[in-house]
Amino acid sequence: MRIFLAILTYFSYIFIIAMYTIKAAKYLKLPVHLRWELYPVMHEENYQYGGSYFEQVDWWTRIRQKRYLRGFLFLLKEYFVLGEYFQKHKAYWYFLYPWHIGFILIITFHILCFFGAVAMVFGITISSSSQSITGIVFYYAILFTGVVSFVTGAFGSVGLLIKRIYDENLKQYATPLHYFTYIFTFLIFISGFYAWYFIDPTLSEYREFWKGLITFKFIDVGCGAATHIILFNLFLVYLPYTRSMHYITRFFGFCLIRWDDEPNMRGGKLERKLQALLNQKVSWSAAHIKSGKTWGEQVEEPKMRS
Amino acid sequence: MAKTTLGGIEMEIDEDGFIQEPDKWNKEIAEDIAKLESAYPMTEEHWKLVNYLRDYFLKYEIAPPIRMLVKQTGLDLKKIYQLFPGGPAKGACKIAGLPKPTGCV
Amino acid sequence: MKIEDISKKSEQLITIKPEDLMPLPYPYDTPDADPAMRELTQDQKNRYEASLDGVLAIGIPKPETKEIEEELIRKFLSGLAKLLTKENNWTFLQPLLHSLEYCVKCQICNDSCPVYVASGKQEIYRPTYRPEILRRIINKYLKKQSTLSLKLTGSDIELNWTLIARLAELSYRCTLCRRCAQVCPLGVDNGLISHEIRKIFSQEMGIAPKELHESGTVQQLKVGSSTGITPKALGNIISFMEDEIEEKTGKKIKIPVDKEGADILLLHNAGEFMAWPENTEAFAIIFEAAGINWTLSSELVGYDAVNYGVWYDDFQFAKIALRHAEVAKALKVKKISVGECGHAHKAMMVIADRILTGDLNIPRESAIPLLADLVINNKIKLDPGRNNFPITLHDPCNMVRLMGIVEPQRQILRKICPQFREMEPHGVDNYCCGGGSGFAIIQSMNFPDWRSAISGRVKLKQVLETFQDVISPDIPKYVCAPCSNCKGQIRDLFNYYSVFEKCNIFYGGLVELIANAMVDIEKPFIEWEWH
Repeated sequence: MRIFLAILTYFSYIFIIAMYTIKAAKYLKLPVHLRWELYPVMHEENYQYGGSYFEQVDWWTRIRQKRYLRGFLFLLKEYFVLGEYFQKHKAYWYFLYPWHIGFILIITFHILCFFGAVAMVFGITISSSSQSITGIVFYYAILFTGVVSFVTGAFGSVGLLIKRIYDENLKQYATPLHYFTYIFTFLIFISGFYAWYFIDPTLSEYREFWKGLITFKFIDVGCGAATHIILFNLFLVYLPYTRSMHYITRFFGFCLIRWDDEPNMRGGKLERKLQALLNQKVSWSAAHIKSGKTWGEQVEEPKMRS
Repeated sequence: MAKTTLGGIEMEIDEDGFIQEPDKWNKEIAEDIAKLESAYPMTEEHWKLVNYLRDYFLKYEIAPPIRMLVKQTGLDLKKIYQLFPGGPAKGACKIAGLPKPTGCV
Repeated sequence: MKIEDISKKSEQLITIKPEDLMPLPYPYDTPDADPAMRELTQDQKNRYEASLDGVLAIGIPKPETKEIEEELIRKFLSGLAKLLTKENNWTFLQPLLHSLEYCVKCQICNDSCPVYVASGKQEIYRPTYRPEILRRIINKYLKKQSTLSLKLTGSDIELNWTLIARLAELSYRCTLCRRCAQVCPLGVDNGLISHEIRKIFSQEMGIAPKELHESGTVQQLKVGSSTGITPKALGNIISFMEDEIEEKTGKKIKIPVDKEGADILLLHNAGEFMAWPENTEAFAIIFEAAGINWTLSSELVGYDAVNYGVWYDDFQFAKIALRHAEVAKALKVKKISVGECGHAHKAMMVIADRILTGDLNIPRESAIPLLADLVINNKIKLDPGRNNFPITLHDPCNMVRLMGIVEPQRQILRKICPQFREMEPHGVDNYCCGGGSGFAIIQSMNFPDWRSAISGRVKLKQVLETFQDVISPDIPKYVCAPCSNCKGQIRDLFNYYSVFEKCNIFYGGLVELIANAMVDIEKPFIEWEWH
């Protein structure tokens, strides 16, 4: 059991990182596209009302200040607020928000467990009465993130399940996988909650388990913790097959599509990329397209009168 | 595309009743279309407008801008709508055998 | 209605009843205020694929034989496959895949769609409906997922001609205003999906509304303009404009044409010459007064800024964009300036930006910031008192949400229109006029009724609400729409509901208001009788 748990954990983490990396690389390797931005563009000077550099006469002669940080912070903030849902669909937000907070905190919880384990290797005791401040901070941070994630996540899972079943708009587009996901996440959060509340109120078992993982001295954990660990690991393996990548692709989508207002300048890097793309052969078969010719060859010779 | 008999000959028309071969247009055809457009019987003023449109079309292969039509025929918009309830484009142009207006007009 | 019903044969998938429609404010708040939408004739229903909602934008003829039908299904699938390759669709592949793969079906976008809301929330108009159909087809017929996987991901759907014919029409029930995309927290763009579906039909199957393709882009490339204006006709119209200017203002202005080396090549939507020459005349008057070195072009395509390709076909788009650039290059102008046409703004500045390379990448800008500069910095003498009537601004989607030109037009109106008032929402959150993505020019059969009663409904509601306190027909009011397409739609919408007669609301462009305020013109420039 010990070995099994450890191997499963290693595998799940490696698996999800590899899968996400492959997916992200695939996304990023897609060719540059035509501009299709939507305003407001956050890095623009007049982002408050959605203004762009096109509002200036001879815009190409002006030096632009792009505030990438503003866009980055906006996206980051939204992770913790989900403001669009709060404004437009509150009844949904009440469940969606705790569900997402559950995810954010459970991930934070695992990261803290990892670093806590590192601290333990260096001889720091993690407990409420630890000699070291670090130990105390780790203790409460792990406890807090874990417990809050279990509670909010479980609440959100049930809420969303009910919402998907009873909200006419959501129901029409719901799939068996949606329901499965909610039930699955509920089990993960509730198993964590169970293990903490009934078996291991200080979560010391988790910390020991993680210490075992990084020192390769695997330990046995109780049934409650083991169930939670297995479920969470399976969830990590399941995640790449869902739309969960949206956590990452949301960043890509905003930066590479919605806010991509980069003008093409003569002799620039972008122009070289575009020229290569225009040299690809097309195979569309409508009569007005020259199939087998490149994009660049589609245009008839200019017939200027003068 | 549908076919119908206008001025005694079979003519191709589009879904909105515009004839597809403007070259075949003649007065009889115009009068038959005018019947469908509630612009019959055609008076001198009807013909003034239709002939103006026809001449402009033969010269420029297009209908004139409405403002030009009004200025050069001396018939104001209100009068045009009285004569051609379908309006200058969908009524008068159709009777004059012009193609249906296209583009952002 | 279930999602998969789209492939079930029936006379019509949905029927919109008058009582479904979103209510309108006074004076249209009575049950009989809505004119009855025209129905197709039985003969038209027999000849065309009209089983979506009984409305025709494309009007695909019914396939005569089973073989033709099967060939069309094959072509649809091959087109869809090409849409997902980088050779054939590098232009939109990344945005397309993002939207196909990362929608979580939270439906938060639904209520931002004016068509969906105005229609009384018809399932087929829901912004997530088309993408859902496309996703299911991809999963089942291109990715060939197993039956179990299809069941789990809810991807079961039967691909048949009924579905394809309906999907084609359905891609022309979205105005590509992209309000839905703007509210998506994940960056999914369901409007883009409509655009991409249109491309499958046009680029692979040769199916597109006649007004967009045959008499649109094809005619433009062949005779010079989608209006059919030839260079010869243009010459005649320009001299007519010069006469009109003289008559109205007493000024003798020679409109410069094909002036080599001018600073600005001004590109108008050629529809302005035909339907609203007062707009192009106002430009000439203002530019002349400000001493700008500008010119029009009389080269093929060089006098028509439109590029309908932006709505349905990347190739037609590129051909026209290149032609515009070639014309400017041959004239050796410093820059292209685009007049009051929303889609030409976006087409030329935003979309064409990554098609034009080398010396064809000629600087291109909107005329509106330049006009704002003239007005704000008092480069022409204006008297706001001449525009002393209630006025509101309709924002063309292409200028605001899709390219961020929001303030210059407002700076002008605030300065020269004392009774300027905003409609809500406005700016980047605006609503489409209902004529976007080519709708305004689709004039055939009963489509014009649909775009007045459904896609233009929210705009009408906004305008009426904005003027509710001055709604009486005794008070003349003005909707400023700096876009030919929007003007065409608003004209048709207002006619459909007799808005001018009932409420005395006039519509027009932006430059007309500037010309109307010019102190050295004696008579009012705006002629209210030309509604």
